[in-house]
Amino acid sequence: MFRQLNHLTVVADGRYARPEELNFLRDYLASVETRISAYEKIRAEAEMMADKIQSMQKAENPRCFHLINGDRSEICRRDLVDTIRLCASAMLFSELDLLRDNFLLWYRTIVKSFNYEASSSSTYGKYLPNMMKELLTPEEQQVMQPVLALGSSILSK
Amino acid sequence: MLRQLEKLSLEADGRYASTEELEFLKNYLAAAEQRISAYEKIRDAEEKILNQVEQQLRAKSPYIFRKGNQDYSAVCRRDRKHVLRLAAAAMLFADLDALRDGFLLWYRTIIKAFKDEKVAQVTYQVLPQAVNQVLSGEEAPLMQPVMALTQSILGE
Ligand SMILES: CCC1=C(C)/C(=C/C2=NC(=C\c3[nH]c(/C=C4\NC(=O)[C@@H](C)[C@@H]4CC)c(C)c3CCC(=O)O)/C(CCC(=O)O)=C2C)NC1=O
Ligand SMILES: CCC1=C(C)/C(=C/C2=NC(=C\c3[nH]c(/C=C4\NC(=O)[C@@H](C)[C@@H]4CC)c(C)c3CCC(=O)O)/C(CCC(=O)O)=C2C)NC1=O
Repeated sequence: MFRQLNHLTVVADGRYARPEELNFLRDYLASVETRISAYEKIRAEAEMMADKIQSMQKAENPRCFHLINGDRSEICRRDLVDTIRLCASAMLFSELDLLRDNFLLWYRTIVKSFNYEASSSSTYGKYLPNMMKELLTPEEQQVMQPVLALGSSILSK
Repeated sequence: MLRQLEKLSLEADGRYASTEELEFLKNYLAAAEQRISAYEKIRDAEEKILNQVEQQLRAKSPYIFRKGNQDYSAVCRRDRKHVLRLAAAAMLFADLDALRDGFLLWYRTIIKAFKDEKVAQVTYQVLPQAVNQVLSGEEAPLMQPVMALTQSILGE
């Protein structure tokens, strides 16, 4: 939402913003309570979701967190928790482009350099979206869905 | 508005926003709806406001826009229009510091360079009332600090 808001301040420097140009702000204001409520649910359950996802990953492949230097479960869990939080933030502020450009594209490199693509695909393409479905109301899912789709499209192979 | 949101967004990169921050966000944005409303009223009543100010200025002094033989009504109206719009934007985005540092101080120099201190003084005394007339009782207090800042810098 920031690019539009930033753009609006620039626009309003040179002329009055037109009704249409204020619409994104009205739309955002109309959805803010849903976004906040979804955000708070995710915040409350993020750790539990990360635990569950790791369990399911390990059940599929017991050595999935064993990389060159041994068992890296801790690091992977931390990365997963962080990524969930950044997704929640992108949903809260309605910011897909920033999430993609400032994080997802960079993070994909970590995934690649550790040859973690298979697990990443199931995490972000299957496990995480399913958990969000169970956690959120239909209205809340609606605002979260684009973020999950973006994350899955970039972090899955 | 933008900076608070950006600040919160930046911090939410590193950790979850707390319930208080989200409350703040909600309350802050609730005020935003009134700001949008006030902003649109000023925009839609722009001509009316500028006309009213012009009338009051001419009533005080018929030659107020003249310098020697030249009539500067058009230039003054143009400038006044700009100031009103930027003030409305400052109210919309709740950003007084940017208004002052990004515009008013610069524009004060223009006024001084052309020796228009007296006209500016009267103009920005009169403008706030003209603006208030188009706003509701709840919206007027949103413009008040902006008008006061404008008057204090441009009207000295
Ligand atoms: C807030 C957003 C954010 C994230 C998510 C992030 C990730 C991140 N993962 C890192 C490391 C790492 N990440 C992993 C591995 C994994 N991580 C996974 O999600 C899997 C792909 C894989 C598990 C199998 C490993 C092995 C390291 C290197 C740790 C090391 O050896 O120092 C590093 C390097 C610094 C460090 O080790 O702390 C960062 C910055 N940084 C950020 O700012
Ligand atoms: C960001 C928006 C913006 C503003 C505000 C602005 C102001 C502005 N007013 C100017 C001139 C001027 N402004 C005034 C006078 C007045 N102006 C008043 O608000 C009254 C106090 C007074 C009426 C009597 C005069 C007399 C001039 C000189 C015009 C000339 O000599 O041609 C000039 C000098 C260049 C020019 O003539 O265009 C600027 C830049 N320009 C902008 O782009």
